[in-house]
Amino acid sequence: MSAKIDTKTFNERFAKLLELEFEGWFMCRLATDPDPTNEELGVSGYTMALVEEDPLDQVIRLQADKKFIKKNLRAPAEQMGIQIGVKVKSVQYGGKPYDPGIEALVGAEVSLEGKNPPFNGPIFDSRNNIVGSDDNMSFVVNPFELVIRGRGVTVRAVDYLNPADPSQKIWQIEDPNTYVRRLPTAFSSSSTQVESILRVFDQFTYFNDRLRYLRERKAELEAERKAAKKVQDLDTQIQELESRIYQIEFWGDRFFSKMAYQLTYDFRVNGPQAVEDKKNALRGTADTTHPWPLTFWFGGWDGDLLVGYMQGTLGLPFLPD
Amino acid sequence: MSKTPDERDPISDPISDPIKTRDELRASLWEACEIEQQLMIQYLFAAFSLKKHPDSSCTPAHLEVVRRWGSQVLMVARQEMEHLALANGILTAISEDPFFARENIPIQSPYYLGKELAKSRSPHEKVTPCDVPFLFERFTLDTIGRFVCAESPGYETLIKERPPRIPEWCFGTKGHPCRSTALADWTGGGGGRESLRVVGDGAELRLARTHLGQGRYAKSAEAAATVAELSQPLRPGSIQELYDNINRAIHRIPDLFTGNPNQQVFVPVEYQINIVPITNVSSADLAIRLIVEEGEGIAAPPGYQSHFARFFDVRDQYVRLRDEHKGFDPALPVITNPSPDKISKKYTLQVFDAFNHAYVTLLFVLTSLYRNYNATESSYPFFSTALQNVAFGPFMTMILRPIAEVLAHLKVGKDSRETAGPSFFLSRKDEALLWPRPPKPETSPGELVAGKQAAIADDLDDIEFFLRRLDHLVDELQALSSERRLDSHLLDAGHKEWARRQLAFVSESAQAMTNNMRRIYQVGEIQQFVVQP
Repeated sequence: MSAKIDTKTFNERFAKLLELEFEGWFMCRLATDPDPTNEELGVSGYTMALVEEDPLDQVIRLQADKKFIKKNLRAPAEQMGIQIGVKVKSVQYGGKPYDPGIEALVGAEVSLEGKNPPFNGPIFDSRNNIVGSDDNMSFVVNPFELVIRGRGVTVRAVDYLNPADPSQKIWQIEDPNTYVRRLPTAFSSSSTQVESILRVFDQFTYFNDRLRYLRERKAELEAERKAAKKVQDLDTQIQELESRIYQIEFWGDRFFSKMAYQLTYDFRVNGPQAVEDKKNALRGTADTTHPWPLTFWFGGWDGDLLVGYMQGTLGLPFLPD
Repeated sequence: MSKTPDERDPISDPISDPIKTRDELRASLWEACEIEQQLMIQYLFAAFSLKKHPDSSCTPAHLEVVRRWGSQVLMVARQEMEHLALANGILTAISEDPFFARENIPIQSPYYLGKELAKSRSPHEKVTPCDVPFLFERFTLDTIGRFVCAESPGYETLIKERPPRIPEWCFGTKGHPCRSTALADWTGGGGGRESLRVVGDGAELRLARTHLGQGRYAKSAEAAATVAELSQPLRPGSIQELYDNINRAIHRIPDLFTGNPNQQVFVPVEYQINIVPITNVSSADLAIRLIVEEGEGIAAPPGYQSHFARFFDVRDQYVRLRDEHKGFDPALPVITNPSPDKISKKYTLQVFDAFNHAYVTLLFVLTSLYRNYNATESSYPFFSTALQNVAFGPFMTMILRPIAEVLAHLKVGKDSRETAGPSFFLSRKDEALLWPRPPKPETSPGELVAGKQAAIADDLDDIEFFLRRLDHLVDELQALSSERRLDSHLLDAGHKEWARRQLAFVSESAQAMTNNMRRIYQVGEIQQFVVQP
């Protein structure tokens, strides 16, 4: 992209946005209160890492490789049609479909990258009401580094909690006003939008069906065990199913209620932005010198499968050639 | 048909030693608070000892079962916290100071002596309830069996239950008497002066003090023993009788509920914890019924999962696993009743001390919160808001539990195969700070001690006191997480990075909590964390 910016008419020229709309299922192996927020096994909260899975690592995964999914995506997620991966669904300019953008970016993988030691990726950061609020569903996504990788085009949008000191950790920031813009702007516990997307309008029945599935699967394995010579693996699988049944029965509403949750974020990305487009596939220029508007939500949280749904729109101030 | 002891009406049925005065009621509530806290920390100790990784004596399948046991035990511990909070809510409602003081464990509570339990649990002498000592023991079959006994309803109730859950090990018969307790000659009172028996690790088990006296009560921890020795106390009886007596007194003693309703510490109902505001007889009634129902399941609907039922089922599963798999062991090799003289490793001792410092700080926070709580606090200084912000969620989950879990992985000695655990130790000095402030003006014989008490108790009204304690914790944990030879202190060197992460995370969280406390004290609740629907 080589368009020269005329600073005098800059605002007018870059007023319109190239809007990238994305959505899809994400995974988050999240520890939940009253477990500590860095709990790796899951004991007193309603979420847990089954013994054959990876530990709870809290990382928000908008993409996951086959190996990770095989080990950590629980049945019957795939039978239900849940495919992990947030992708670009549409590209518009000035409110209308924008063909060069559609060609380059529709279907592109959207990822959240960066690290937040000791966590190996971005997390919903709250530390049990210390730097956010679990009770109020008030978490920042930390760090925030949104990356969209399309065909020949990569869009990167980074936001700093504290632009004056990007290296500062959230627990070192004394005044939450510093990062208040990164906290959710709205929260609904019964979002009809989420219910419609997931096609789950009765959350109680949804988890009742899950319990039935888990019990049936457990009965199958127990029958298999009677004839088996080696039972250790079967025993483990049976007990894993029992733990899932236990959690849903034990916590009940903590599962049901979160299926229709919708947590909305809305801020202008303040860090370095970049558009790599060597062949000018987008047929235009994006402004990378001003903040980019971004809105997105997480919701539809299935605490048994440890998956949820995400939808959002990133706006790039843009000038077509 | 005669009523079982559990079927009696606590309000109208006759009892032998009713509480007659406000002072006796206060002292009885102190007894309740002390026992609830002592039960809670024993459950926490056992839960913290549970394994979190499979090994040769705990297969992956076992670990799933062990995880569920941990969930159950921690849930019951949370409800003991709830009971402690409710008993303190009643104290606040009758204009009394909260009570978070307690004696250290190991100890024998008089309420859990077999001969006292017999009065409510097996009055017709078909069986004899066994003593239930208060000990810090890692999670074993004996430990969970002891917890079952602590929460058990009476024998006559048990045999009527369907499905039947009869904890035979909690009762002795002529053919199978309880293990010797050496308590047979105990006649009540004594204020902890009597040494009782030797527990498994050789520690002497003392008889716990009692706060009950004839219309008098101890004005300080030091005075508690004196009062108990000088006066003829009310007979403690069983814990069930204690709550019955409290319940009855609340109905009988006039003009009790003089406390400010805005001083009722409120916690939203979550995670099986129901801390209701107590402002009158009916809300106090509700609180007491909740405590008794959750514990023993008395008067609960069929199928109700009381603490007794939960523990009984866990023990049942344990027996099955032990029978199927020889050598099964769900817990780390944590020593019984840890104390500094049993820990020779300096690093482990430092973590041990850090835990106790943190635990005592939490008790200070809770005491001050209950004394100073103000639901309508609207201008500087926001002291109670600052205390509440740290008191419940973050301190327990983000500070205490991770330190205790690391401790359970740390060797007690260089070549030892045993690990440490938290002792929840309260020094005399710490306990003195927690002790309720005397009423003003002074009129009782405990005046002198109480005067000294008032001076030191002022610390708990000062935000800087709490900030200093948290700062100390941050520094300690930072240093501990930087330990270069952490692997040499761990039972399994492979857990080095996990332990380091845990300690560093706690230190960071404690630092952020300190910042929050300071900020909230100045400007009030963090409004930024409230998301509008």
